[in-house]
Amino acid sequence: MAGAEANEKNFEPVIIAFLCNWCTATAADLAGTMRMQYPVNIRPIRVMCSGTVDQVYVLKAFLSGADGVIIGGCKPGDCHYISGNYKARRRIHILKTIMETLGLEHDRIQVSWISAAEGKKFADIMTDFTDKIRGMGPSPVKVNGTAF
Amino acid sequence: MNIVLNTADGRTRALRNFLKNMLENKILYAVIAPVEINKKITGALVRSPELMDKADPLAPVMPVNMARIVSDITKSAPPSDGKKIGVLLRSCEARALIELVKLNQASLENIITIGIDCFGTYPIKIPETGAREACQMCEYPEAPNTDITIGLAGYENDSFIILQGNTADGDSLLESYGAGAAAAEQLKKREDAIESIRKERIAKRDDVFARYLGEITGLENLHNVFASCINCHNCRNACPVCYCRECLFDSPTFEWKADNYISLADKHGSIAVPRDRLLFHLTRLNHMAVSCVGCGACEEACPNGISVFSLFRLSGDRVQAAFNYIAGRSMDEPLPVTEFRENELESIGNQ
Repeated sequence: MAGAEANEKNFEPVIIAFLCNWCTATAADLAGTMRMQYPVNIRPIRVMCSGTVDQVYVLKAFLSGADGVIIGGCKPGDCHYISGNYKARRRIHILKTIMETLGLEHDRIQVSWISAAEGKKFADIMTDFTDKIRGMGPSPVKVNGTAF
Repeated sequence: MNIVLNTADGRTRALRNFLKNMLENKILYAVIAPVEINKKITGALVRSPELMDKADPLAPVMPVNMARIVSDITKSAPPSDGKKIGVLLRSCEARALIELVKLNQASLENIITIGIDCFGTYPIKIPETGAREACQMCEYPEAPNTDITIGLAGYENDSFIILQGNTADGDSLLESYGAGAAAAEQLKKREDAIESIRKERIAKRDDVFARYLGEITGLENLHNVFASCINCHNCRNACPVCYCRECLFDSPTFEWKADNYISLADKHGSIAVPRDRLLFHLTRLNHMAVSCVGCGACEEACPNGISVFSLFRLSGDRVQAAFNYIAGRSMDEPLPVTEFRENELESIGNQ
């Protein structure tokens, strides 16, 4: 961790964001239209629904060295496809339970419900999450210098 | 209802004769059972009554989880009416079959499930090491949700065993055999024996879980566990509940161009190969943990002896507990990933 501490000042996390087309990705657009900034650390990937985000894609991002993954979906009850976000919630709960069991940092995975009207909330959450991950330091996917 | 089966000539012979009788009288059209061919135990779909003499229902090995075989045989179409198949199942096989039926990967139509008390099985490769760890820590010596239960536990010093019907199908099959019913104290004897095995194994399970937490948690341990993984996916093929007909990991989804691998190595300094080994196991864990019955077939199938079972058993327990679900417990409980509640898991999404 000594290396991580030394790098802390320069450390800029890479964060993969899976954003639902109907709510959170639209909120990202709105944030832009409202001229609100959110950190460049966020690498958004638009998906049709948070329910399409299988754990494998979160894990692939995590194991490829993403320092954080955030999944944005419609608020419970507001899913464009009625129940996709409820299913996403169960899937992510499974993922987090397994990561916790295996001693992996499940705090690096976050789900946020952000509606299409919440441009400011989008920018705020992305900023907060980036700060949180920056505080946690680089993701420990490497063992003795080699990423598994 | 139940019947007492005389085992004066040995349990194996008594069970063979019982199954033979079922075939001869056309109560069952065929039976899926472990058989001994050329001194090796293998599964077989036995049609001819005289070949039932080769059946070895008590052989303490499980070359393949039979739930997988029932799935293979029934998933395109179950047996037609009048061609009932009886299947001998250990506890983990019966529980896996329940999960497969819920996943629409097997059918119980015209299938008579015959559960058999399990005292554990030995590894195929090196049986000298004793019963498999998966079996030593299995808290289900009794196969649940079967049409018939072959009760062995507690009768080790007796010259009988008891066959119990649990469903209308099971009852009518036993009725046709026409043997005397068991006395209450005989049934009680088995219940006590099952309970004592269960207690012993739960204690073992808790010990083993404590050990696993030290051995497999944390990225460093996971790296050490999977460093010798060759990406053969044998664990997936042997898993009775891994249900996708086409696996994502057999597709080119994660095949990259060389430059992409180089840029990842650029980022980290070095990347372990073959790629995506941990991704494969963690993904399978995410997809299968809710239905994991802890049979250990995954680890048996591993050519490099990787302790993949421990990951599944431990995570499976935790994930199933999170949804108050137990794989194979009941046909009526929906799989956790196929349903949801509007008000649940409030901590997710509201940071």
